[in-house]
Amino acid sequence: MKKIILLTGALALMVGSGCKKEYLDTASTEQVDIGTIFTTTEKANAALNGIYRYMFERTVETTSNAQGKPGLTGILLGVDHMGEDLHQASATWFTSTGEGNYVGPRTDNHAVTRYYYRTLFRMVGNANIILDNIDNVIGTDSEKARIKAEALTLRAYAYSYLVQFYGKRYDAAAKPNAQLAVPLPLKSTDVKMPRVSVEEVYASVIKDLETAIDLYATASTRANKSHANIWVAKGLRARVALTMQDYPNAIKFAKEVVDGNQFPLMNETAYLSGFNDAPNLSEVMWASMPTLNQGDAFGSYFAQIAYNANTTYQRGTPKRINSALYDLISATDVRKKMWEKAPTAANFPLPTTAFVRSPYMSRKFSVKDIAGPSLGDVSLLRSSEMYLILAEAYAKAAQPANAQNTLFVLTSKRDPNAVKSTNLGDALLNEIMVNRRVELWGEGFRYLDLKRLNQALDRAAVPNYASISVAEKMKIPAGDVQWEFFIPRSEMEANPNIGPQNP
Amino acid sequence: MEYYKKGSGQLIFELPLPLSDGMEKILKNIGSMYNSGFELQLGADLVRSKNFTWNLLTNWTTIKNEITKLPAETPVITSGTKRREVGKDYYSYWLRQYVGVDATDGSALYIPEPGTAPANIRTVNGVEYVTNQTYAKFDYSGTAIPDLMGSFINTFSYKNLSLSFQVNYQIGGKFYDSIYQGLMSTSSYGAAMHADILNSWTPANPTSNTPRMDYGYTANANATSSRWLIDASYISLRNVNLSYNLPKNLLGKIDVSNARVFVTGENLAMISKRKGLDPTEAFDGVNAFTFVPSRILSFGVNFSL
Repeated sequence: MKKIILLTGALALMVGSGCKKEYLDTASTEQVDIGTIFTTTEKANAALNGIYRYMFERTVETTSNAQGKPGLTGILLGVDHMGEDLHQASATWFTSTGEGNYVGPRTDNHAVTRYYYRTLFRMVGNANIILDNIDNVIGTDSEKARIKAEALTLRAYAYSYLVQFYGKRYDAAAKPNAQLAVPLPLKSTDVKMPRVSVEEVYASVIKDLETAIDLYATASTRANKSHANIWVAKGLRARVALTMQDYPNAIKFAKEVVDGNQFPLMNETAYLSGFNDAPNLSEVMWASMPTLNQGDAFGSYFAQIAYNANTTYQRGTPKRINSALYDLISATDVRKKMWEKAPTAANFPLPTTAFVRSPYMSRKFSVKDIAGPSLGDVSLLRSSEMYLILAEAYAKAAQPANAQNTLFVLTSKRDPNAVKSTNLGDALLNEIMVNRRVELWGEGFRYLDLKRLNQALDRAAVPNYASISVAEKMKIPAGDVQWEFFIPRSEMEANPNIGPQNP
Repeated sequence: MEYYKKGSGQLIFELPLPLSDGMEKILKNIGSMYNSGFELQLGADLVRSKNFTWNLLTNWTTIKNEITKLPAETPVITSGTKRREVGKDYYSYWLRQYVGVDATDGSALYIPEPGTAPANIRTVNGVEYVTNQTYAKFDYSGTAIPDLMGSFINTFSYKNLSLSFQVNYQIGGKFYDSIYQGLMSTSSYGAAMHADILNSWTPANPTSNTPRMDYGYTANANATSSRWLIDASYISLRNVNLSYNLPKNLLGKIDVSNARVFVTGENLAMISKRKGLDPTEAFDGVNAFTFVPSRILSFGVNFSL
């Protein structure tokens, strides 16, 4: 896999007073200017790779607990700690340092809100520079189309999170959704932009994804699953449609991916292999894939969640599942094996005796190599989510038979004894949601599902939830202001046009 | 005595940009400021007799700093605990305004930012406050620059014996004690804390000036705010020296023209507003985990041939 190291400042404009004395070489030896990057598609691709790399690397946007903030993948971990299905026995990272106790999103100068906001906007900023310049570089049209389409996909992906964190939830019954989201810079010259409405951000996300889908048709093939492609754009389009309660489009795009059958559902062996090897996991559509020499023993996704990651955090604080949810999984379902109700040395071997066992702990994620640097590929999109989107959208769109059939395709693959659902209405939706929560556990969905469906967070209903781990933050009513992150203080200070803070 | 006024222009500032922009900050040659003040030094033999001399050397310095120009597009630059603006000094604090503790539940009370939604306001004795720092008002809160810095050196000489000591002091200015803030925060179990936290608000101790010790509320109770400012005045015993010149008649026998025996102590004592606080640690008035100036005791003999 070719990943070109791109210094974080690679896309930086050279600013300042260039000293014109001849004996001084004004070209920086550690940064690259735009004119040098955007000469060929090969170099532009390096800029694109820089975004992908930034998505898994230990953050540089804050020094506060940076180890637990591996780029975008750290955001996926963080938001899962804001729900109730994934939790841990004691107060440490993700619970007491910001996310789990909701202090991070609800304190304007907290490292958490700064990290989420800046990480996503930096992806946007770098994508914008690529989009501004890609037309003028030397290279084949198919490479240009690919780079452009990937940059559009990444920008849409970043905005789809920003709008969900910083805006009030999208409500299809209240169009246009005039509530404020985030600024919407779409060119590198767009600076100090005001917050715009949730509706406008979603319109931009949809436009980017659909433009990308068209472009991918003439684009060269991606090198590997760390890059986005047409299926990724369609998958994200379906995800966005579901979030907007736009069920016809959710059905359309999810069905296209399912019918395309490029990413068949994994068999039991693959499912039990630790979710760490994207090329060999058939249903992974897109993943963040650090290579061995990019490994970070402590500052990676797997260092925070893999059951066998040899970090102080993981050894002492295994991730557990909501026991009530676990009890709903059929005994013959392969997913039941992702967690252990009563772990022992016999049924749950661990690398060393320094690892703690905790009831309902997970073995879903495993590092590639126990002796290595907590390495693994982080799934960003799996085709099983497409089945779940499709089933939910069918159910919401009053097509229960289609919903039951779609769900059964997934459940029959997971459980040899699965029976096709005969549920209807809320019971059917609930069955789909249970499958969704179990299937996507640890991948950054639950909090966003609660928010998009306008449900309450109720950790008190989770029998094994350790309230002390989140400073007793056990309930948040549906629609409460706590569902919105505060815009970071430094944005409010440095952007005179930003507009009002969230309530 | 001296009066100085020194202006500087085209100063390089780190200019913060919005997080939603492509870049977070740039360096720019912007801004002008001046420093002015008096420096006064006096020295005198207060007592001069055949065997005894008392010499006093003293000096005073004042500094006034004022920013005179910032770029029109960023007339205000906020950085950490400071805000830079024309007419203010470079070390002006810009902080959330902490008021005290609500006796009913031990919440920290801050002055509300104008326009705060009524749902976030708490009224105590008819006055409106907020208990979540995010809604608290920011305001100028003094400066790290002291009103006066000074020192004096006393030297007493009696026959061959000489004793001198130097005292440094400063009056005024504010210090932002972030170390104390950290020791008063309860964001993780098993961490060191300051003894003052024992006085936290409890139902039995409702008049405490320290908010309740609440793991889930510490981000608001102990937020960066004017609460952590403390008077930066101090007085320190910087140096004491006691020396004795051996009599000539003794020296003649060993063919040495001069010999002196001495004992010196440095950084012997400091009195500041809070025990352990060293306001000289950083001129910008924010401390960090650093070593205190080491206390040095030296003994020695000096020979001159």
